[in-house]
Amino acid sequence: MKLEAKDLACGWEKGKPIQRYVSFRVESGQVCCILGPNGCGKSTLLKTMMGLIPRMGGRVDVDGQDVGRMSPKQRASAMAYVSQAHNPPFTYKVRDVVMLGRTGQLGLSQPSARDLQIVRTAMEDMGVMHLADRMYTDISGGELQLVMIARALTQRPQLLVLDEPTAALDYGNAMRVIAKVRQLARRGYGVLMTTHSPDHAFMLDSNVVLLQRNNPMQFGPAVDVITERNMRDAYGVNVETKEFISRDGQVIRMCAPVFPHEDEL
Amino acid sequence: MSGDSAKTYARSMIERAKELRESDAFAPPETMRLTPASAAAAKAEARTSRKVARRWVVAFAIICALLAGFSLLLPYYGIDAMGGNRQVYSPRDVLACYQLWFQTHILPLFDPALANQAGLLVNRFAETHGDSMYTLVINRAVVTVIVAGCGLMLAVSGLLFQAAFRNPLAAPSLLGVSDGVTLGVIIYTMLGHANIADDSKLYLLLVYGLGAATVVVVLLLSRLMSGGRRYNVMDMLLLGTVICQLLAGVNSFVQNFVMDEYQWEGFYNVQQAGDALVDPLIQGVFVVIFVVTLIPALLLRFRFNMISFSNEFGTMAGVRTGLLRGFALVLGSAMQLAAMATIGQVAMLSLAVPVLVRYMMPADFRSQFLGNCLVGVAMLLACVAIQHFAIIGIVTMPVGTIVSVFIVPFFVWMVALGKGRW
Repeated sequence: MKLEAKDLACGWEKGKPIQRYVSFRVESGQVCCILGPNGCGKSTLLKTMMGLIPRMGGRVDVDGQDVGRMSPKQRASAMAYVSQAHNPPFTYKVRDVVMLGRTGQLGLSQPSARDLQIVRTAMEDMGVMHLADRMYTDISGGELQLVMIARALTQRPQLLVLDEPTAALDYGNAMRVIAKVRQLARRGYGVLMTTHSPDHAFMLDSNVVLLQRNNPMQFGPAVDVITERNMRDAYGVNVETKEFISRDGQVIRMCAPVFPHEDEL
Repeated sequence: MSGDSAKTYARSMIERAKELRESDAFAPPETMRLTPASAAAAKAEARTSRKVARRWVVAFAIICALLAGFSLLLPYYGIDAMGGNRQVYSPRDVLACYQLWFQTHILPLFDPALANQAGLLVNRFAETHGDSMYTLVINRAVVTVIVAGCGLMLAVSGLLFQAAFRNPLAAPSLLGVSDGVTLGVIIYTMLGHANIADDSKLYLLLVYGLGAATVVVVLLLSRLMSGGRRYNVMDMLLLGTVICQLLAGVNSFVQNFVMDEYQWEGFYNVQQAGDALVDPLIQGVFVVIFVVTLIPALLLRFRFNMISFSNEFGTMAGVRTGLLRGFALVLGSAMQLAAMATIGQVAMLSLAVPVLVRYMMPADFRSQFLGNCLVGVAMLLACVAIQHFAIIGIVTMPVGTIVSVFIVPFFVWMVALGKGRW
């Protein structure tokens, strides 16, 4: 499966696009991270890609089919979305929240044993089976994010769209979520996600869409897009990108900020 | 290692990782593998949840049956014990009436020859037990069934509204149904009627018409306010509150400054809808709305979970959440309207029962739907049973007052126990 944006323009106010001429694609088994400063339109781009807000120009296709013309059911089986913030309305059980991912496939019928099996498998895949009977208002932020990804998996999509999946998570929880995203990509899911951390793009060995307010977007492998110059242009911060080999032989690349020397302050 | 050679090495490692991922050595081809073990576990899980649901149903069915039995048998016995002014019949006489009804209505279905004897049986019964007893007792039974239906509809309408507004304080009166109905009753009494039986067609037209019109006005105005694109829950809530205030102001002005004493008494009578319960036309309309609203609610009970979540959440799961939320509000308003036209002002039940059930059961709409049906029936039957004892002079206390007096302390106790779990 391939999700592709061609010359896409997006924004909230008619005639005033936040981003224009955005072109990139994500395929099954790939991760694509959308990076950029606050207010540059990362979440807006994500929602436009999913057809949640109308686009202002260009195209978004899933395997050549226009996303805007897909029915909610078709879209739900192509891609699943995990939003950035989640305000629990009532005290649902974790298992019931995960089951909600099946709603689009069920029509008027009630969940069957097969639906329960899919829910169970998704929860096991995300390592949250032990939380099944807990209230989802009582679990930690990291666990909640994994639960919401499990809910997305029950739609059995080809592509996962994650809006800042590590926002407001502590370092340990953030790394657990990133590890799960890596695992999912290796199993064949395409992942499109927004993030504030360039390191996530390196950790996920992903392609990167770098959005900026006044410059054209850039798209390519993280190694090529997350450069010292691009980071300075996008965020106004000096960084150095470093590579090293871990003890078990993995190549690790990091992006580290370089602060002005005290003499220069 | 110089910078350039490290970069080249890193690139080669990344390329290697990509090759491995693309080869079969790394990942299975399918994204989600469903194993026989997980199928067996899922089946066991389904069995357990069915067993739990069955226990709840049996427990509440017993409570409802006891309350219904109490309501059917006690009134004509209990009121005498309390010194009331009503005709008194013993439970034995009441059971004889049900036996006669069974003989004249059910048995002829299986043996048409018995239909000819029905008239004879009724006449013989009238000779031994008096003329009015049979009619009174059977009416009482029908009223009990209708009251149970009203309890169910009020509770489910409250559940739908609280889910749609994602707020445990939401009640169906928020869209103006209650004030619309009151305005209908005021106009009905201003036209010179002191009882519903005077002109039940006009009563139905005014009460249903104005109740429904208020909801339609709120929905249309909120759509206009959001630029005609889609409904905004907050706009709807604000408009509903403002229109309720406006109608309440008009109603209060008419009651205090326009109505004379006789009209006010008539208004009080009609608002309690005492005789609506035994009017066949009002009963018929109630049954139609009961069936028409309850069947979709039952079929959509899993899907209705989505209205408690954001539009994005539902849309990306393949559900038209906005449409579903609007449908839930229309269903809830129709249920509330039918219950209020039939049994009078008992809106408190819509607010209290969903909160109580949410404390007792998980928030999943399927459990909540079942729980609200059962608790709504039980609560209203209990309140009506209490009503038979609540006689001040020759006046029976309105069921709405009993609901408030009976439910509020129970509600406060449950909320204190719940510690925020609603």
